[in-house]
Amino acid sequence: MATLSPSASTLTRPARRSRSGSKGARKYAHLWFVLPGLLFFLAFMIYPALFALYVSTTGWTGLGNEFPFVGLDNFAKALTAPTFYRAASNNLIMFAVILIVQHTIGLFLAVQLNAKPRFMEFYRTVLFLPVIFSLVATGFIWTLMLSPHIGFINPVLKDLGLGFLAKNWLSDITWALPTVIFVQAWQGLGWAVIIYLSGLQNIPEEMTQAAEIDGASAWQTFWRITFPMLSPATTALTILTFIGTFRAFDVVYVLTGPIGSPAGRTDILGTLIYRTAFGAAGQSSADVRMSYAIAMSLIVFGGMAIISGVMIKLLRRREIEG
Amino acid sequence: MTAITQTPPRRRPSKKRSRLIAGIGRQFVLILVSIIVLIPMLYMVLASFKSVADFFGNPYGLPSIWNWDNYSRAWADAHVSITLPNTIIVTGAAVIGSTVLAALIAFGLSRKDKPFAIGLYTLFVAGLLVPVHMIILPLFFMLKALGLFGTLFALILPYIALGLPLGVLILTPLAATIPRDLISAAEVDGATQWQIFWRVVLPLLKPGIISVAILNGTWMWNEFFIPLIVAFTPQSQTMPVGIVSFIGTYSTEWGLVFASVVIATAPIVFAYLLITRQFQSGLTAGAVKG
Amino acid sequence: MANVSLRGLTKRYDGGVVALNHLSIDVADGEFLVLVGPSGCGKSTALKMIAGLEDASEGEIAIGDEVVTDLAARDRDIAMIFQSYALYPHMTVFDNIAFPLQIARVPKAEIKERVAKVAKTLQLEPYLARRPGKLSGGQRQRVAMGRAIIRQPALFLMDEPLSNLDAKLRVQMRSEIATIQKRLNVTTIYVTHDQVEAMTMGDRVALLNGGVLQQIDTPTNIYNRPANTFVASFIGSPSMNLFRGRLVRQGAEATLHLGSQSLAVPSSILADAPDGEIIIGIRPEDLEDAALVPNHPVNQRLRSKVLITESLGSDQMVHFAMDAPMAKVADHDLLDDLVVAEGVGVCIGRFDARSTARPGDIVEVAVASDRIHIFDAATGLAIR
Ligand SMILES: Nc1ncnc2c1ncn2[C@@H]1O[C@H](COP(=O)(O)OP(=O)(O)OP(=O)(O)O)[C@@H](O)[C@H]1O
Ligand SMILES: [Mg+2]
Repeated sequence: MATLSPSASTLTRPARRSRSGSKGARKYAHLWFVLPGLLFFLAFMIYPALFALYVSTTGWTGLGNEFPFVGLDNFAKALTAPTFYRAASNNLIMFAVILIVQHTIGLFLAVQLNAKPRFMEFYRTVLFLPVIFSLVATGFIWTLMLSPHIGFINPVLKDLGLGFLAKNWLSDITWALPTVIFVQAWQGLGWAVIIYLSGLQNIPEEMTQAAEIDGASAWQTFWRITFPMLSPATTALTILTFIGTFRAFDVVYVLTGPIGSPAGRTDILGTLIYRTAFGAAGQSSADVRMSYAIAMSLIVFGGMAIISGVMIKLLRRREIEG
Repeated sequence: MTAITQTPPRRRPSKKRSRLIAGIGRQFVLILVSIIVLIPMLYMVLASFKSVADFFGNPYGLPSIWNWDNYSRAWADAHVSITLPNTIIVTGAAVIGSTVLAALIAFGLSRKDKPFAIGLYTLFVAGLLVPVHMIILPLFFMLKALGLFGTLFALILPYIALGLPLGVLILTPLAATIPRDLISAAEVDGATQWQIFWRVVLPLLKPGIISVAILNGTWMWNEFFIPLIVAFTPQSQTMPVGIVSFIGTYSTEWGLVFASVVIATAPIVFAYLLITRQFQSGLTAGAVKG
Repeated sequence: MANVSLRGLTKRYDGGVVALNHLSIDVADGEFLVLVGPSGCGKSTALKMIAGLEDASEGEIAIGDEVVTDLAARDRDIAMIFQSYALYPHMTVFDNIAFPLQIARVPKAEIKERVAKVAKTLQLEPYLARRPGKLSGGQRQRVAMGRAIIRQPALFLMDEPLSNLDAKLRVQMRSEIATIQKRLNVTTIYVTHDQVEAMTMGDRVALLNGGVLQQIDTPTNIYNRPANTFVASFIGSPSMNLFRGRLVRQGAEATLHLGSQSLAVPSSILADAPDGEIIIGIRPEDLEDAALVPNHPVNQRLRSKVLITESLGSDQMVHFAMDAPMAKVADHDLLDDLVVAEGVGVCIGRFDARSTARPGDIVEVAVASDRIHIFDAATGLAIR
């Protein structure tokens, strides 16, 4: 029987030359891979963001070199301005409507595609196509399609004998916001389809088959098995939609202009901040103040960070339970 | 000898028929939605060939004369001949730059137990929330100070940085799913971390990299706001701004407007159609399990 | 080619798990050492530390004449086969095998030649252009093997390389690996939890439990002279029967009391065993149906009721009741199977196929009492 007593003597032999740095250096070696990206990020994201934070506490107009310190005045002003809340509530409506559309129509279409109908690839490619389009292109297409006199929608309605439905879609007080939201939903639906579809494809077939064998109806299988398994997709889509709608700008800018016509009915945070920073036709230059705009965008950023953090927490919890 | 008696398969005509009906219904729904998606695009293409008179006389029919003139004018007058190559260069460089950098970051941060991994990941991903409006002005002054105005770098460099959050968000979890043993095996086989990245990790990230490239490429190609603020001449602009500023001048000539929109959109649509194929084949073959 | 020295190797994971506790082993140049033990005993941890994939909390590792404790894996000149094989899924079989050479910038022509040679040895020639995803388990195992042997490293490490194969393939690969190792004569540390692999492949076997080395010796010695009750019960299938009993000496005569029964044992095997409480170990093959060995001394027999018989064709496993308390060994999974019913000790004997013992019968069991093992009742350490 061999001896078991661990000998106390240590080995004093020459160490082999290390080509990979010391043990301590290796512990941090992964940071070398992060460094190049981090430099870009620091220069073009973090630094401007910190600069923005500084500017927001000044009265800088955007021109000239005067940065009078005003403390939190800009923030206070934004948080008491009715236009800010009007814009934010328009964003919120946009978010809510699009979210519902994505989680119903988008999911429905994804389920249809997951049944692998004929031409499935074609449909999938087509449904994602609007996502590829620029909002500028989308904006132009729909501006013309919705235009009251030339356009497409109204002439078609008239020729179908539905002329009474024709409207001044984008300048009608009631219809402007829904129209803008429709265009944005049209553009973003492909997201929902593709995200839900990949979620569906990741569900092992055995799971649904097992449920079928256990006697569950198609409807029960969907709600008890499939839908809970889609939680990660739901989470991702909700967060994406939230970020997308609260960062929206181009769609309104192109459809109804930087002042969110008519009468601010389509004004959202993006356009409000834009014209506060850079001005717009039909706006007095006194309203233009860079530092104020930046303060508003910081509020938006902070709000979004908090809300999406909370959303991720809540939705993730559902994922774990589900 | 025992005869093997087989019960004939029970026929379920009702089930078969209901399946058929479901199939038809499915096709109907999908065709309807496809039409809703495609009509505006078809409309755009048709409109790009129309003369001004056509818009009033014949709002949604085919153009009375196919007016190719719109395209040649868009090419020259809307400076598409300059902004198209610009857009290709900017998008190409920024997509490659930010995807490679994001993949490097993803590999670096893929092990949560390494120092700073979680903090840095959060930092990068939080970039998704930053409204461009917030950083555009500091960016403006920085680019000016760096003497980048008038060059395409004024767009490429910020795009690379702005593309990182999405890239890190998608690629880091993907890199974390690469089996630990695979990396260990390469280490034992004598590979440096750098070699492991290029030879093992990057190829396995391919499906994610294609998604990141599609998604980042799309917004970079289409980005309107940043060039609106930092690029003033056609020589440094990309197509969306070029077209919008052009339209300001010719706002009633819708045919001309749409010809330029078609030119701006066609390349990215083709790129998408090409890459979707590869994406799909990548998905079916992409089992990371040995 | 090199010897390997582990000195007081210890691994503490964050959270306080001590996966490996002061492991000290010397592996000779060219030796095939098998590291065996129950699941979670720290085998993989030990292997990863030797490979440089996991830092040592304490202790030293030397390969050849060099201390490598602080070197990165790539600087240690070792080859490793992983339980999952860890083949690169995006590379062909050729590239998988060639990878270590490509990394070392070996000229292309030479790589080709060497891969061809390895592929021939492992009968992988038809598959060189395939991806690992399209190979069977056995073929993948060979590719992993090929990637390891192409480089002629100082040391082979193998972590349960056969555990994903079916039984038949395992037997075949077992001898192939042993043959290749002998031919290349590369020092090898082979991890398994399969005792058959441990017994058949290794020059020596090191048995771990709970991160602590229990015994390291040749397979025969481990089997015949287990250092403690853990080793005794881990090696051998079915396990050694372990009961608490009492040793009484009267002059030259010694008697073991097992519950209500007693066995005479030759005092030659008792050496300096003290009188009193002890643990008695009897391997199943040292028990036989006394009806088949009529000449067996009467005082070296047990009488008991048969509970179950399991025929294996060549012989049969007979479980019979014992009224002596069974000795529990650590928290070792194999032993859990043995506790059939509370209060009833169960003893297993490997009887000849001709035995007619049936459940319910009372049988006479002949005990080869010169082969009995005796352990300290408190520490479980072997006494003789
Ligand atoms: N990264 C880790 N962090 C914390 N504890 C760990 C870690 N890896 C392993 N352990 C623990 O260390 C112990 C030894 O693990 P190890 O993988 O070495 O076991 P093993 O002997 O290889 O088992 P098996 O036969 O199941 O592979 C186990 O209790 C395990 O739970
Ligand atoms: Mg293990």
